[in-house]
Amino acid sequence: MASSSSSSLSRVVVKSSDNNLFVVNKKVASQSQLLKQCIDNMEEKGTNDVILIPLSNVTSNILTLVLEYCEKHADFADDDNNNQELKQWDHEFLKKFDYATLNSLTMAADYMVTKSLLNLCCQFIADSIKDLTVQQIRQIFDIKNDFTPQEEADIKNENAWAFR
Amino acid sequence: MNHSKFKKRSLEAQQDIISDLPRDVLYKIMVRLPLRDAARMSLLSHKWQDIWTSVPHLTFDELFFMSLKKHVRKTHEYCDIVSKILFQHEGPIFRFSFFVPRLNSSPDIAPWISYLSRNGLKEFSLCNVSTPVKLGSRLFSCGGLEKLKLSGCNFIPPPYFRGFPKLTSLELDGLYLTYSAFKDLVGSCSVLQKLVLTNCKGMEQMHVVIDAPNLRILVLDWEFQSIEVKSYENLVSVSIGLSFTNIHHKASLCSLLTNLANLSKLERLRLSGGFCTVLIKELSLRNTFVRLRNLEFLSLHLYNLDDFSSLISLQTCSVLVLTSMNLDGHLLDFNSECTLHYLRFATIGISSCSSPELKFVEFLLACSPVLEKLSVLPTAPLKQSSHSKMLVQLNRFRRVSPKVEVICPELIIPEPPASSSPSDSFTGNSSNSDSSS
Repeated sequence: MASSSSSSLSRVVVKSSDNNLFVVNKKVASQSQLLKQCIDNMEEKGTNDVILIPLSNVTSNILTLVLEYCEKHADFADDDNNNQELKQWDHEFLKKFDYATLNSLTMAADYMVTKSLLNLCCQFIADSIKDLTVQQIRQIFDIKNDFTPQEEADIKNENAWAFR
Repeated sequence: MNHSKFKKRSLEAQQDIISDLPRDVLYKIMVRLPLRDAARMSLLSHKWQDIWTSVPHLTFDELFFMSLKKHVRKTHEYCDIVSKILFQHEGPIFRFSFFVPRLNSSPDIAPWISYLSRNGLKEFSLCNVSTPVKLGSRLFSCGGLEKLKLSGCNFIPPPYFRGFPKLTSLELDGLYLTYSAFKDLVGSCSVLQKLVLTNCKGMEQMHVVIDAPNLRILVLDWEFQSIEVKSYENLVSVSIGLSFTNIHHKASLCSLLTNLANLSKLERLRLSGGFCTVLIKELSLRNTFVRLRNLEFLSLHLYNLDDFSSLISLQTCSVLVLTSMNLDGHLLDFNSECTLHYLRFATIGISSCSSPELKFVEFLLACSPVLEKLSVLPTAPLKQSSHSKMLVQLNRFRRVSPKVEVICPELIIPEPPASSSPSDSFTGNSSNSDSSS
């Protein structure tokens, strides 16, 4: 860890919920609005210490993934968002995960206010839901059916157009 | 980065995987689904039923209509479904889009707008290519409106209309609009950033003044007598076309263009139709754009291929050759010293494989050292012989960029007895060096 006493260190330390420390470049951290806000606040106070940001909601496995995404996107930050290479990378990145990981990643992206990652995850989930039957969706996401048969029939009747 | 050395526990202990996401995130997933799929989610569980009936964006687009098409033949059947969804709805509807299908009659959308106006509407989009529909007056009382996109409707603001103070984006297509209504509307939207006016009628004889100090994106494509843009400072993207070439006040167009050429923020410029004729006759690109150093992206639709060498900052260019009639006299004779240092992507639409068109391709290949992709797209099917001739020519041209890929899809007039379909061949890209044999 760097030990300079200047407040404009180029790195910050992020702590996961399971107490692992991650040294992160500021430019990478700034991809998350939550981290950026923390850094800005600390710098305004004029602290001389290394900035430590604890994230009580994100495990280190998920944080690793979020930071991998931020690192890639920080490289492209000045480039246009429609970069084909980046889009391809995004897709390959998400494709690797099972639904549970994808879910935790979405949750972390929301908590850390990493808007582009959150949008990406939501689009990915929506794309995988599309064209599936209700039964299939329940199975994939382990959703418990809490309707009575009568309620179920009512919903189908109310939105008949969607179920024919 | 210091990654963790050991894995402490497994990531997932939840039961319902996505259901535990925050509500806002679930809405984000829902609005990315086609409406029919979103409605079906309501059958998953009580929570999802609740999410469906409160989803803040409703998009009744063409896709939605297509998904119902088998069962809906009359306007009232379609409207019943939309009304039913609105009746079920609880909470605000921030975004509402509606596509008007071609059915037996025009739908009555005024009651929906009335409902929406009481439910926090921020974005409203109406897409209609058939008979104009009546908007009603309630839309004009939606003070919170931020984006408005209208086509195929009567646009008549009531006398009490005080404007949309929060409107940032206004897109009007195919509307009849008087100049005073237009002026009042734009004048009242003080934070307007995007203005798109296409195929509108009613201002053919007017001197149109556009006064919107925060404007970033401007698209104009319709008939007017003359035009004046009051503040240019923030413009990033401009597209101007004139529906016909009978322009009386060329001076106003020339001064508009001179102003555009000196903008520091402009990234994208698209000129088409009559505007280009004026441009070519009255000014030349060389005189106009030579100072425009930070023009990064330019799509230019031209009648005349001239003076490209002055566009030194060009990164992407798209040229559609609508007609090459008047090109023969101005055969592009390029200077071999000219270099387009930044050009990476170019698209050229060709109509006939004439020599000026190919000359332009030759020019781009010879002067663009970092060109990555050059697409030569026929705007209409070509004769087999023209296509073959073109491929031979394309292979001969010198390429200064080592990594350029030349893409030239076949689009060939089918020969009468042949059975193969021409649409299949459109996907076949013949790229780079191996296509001449």
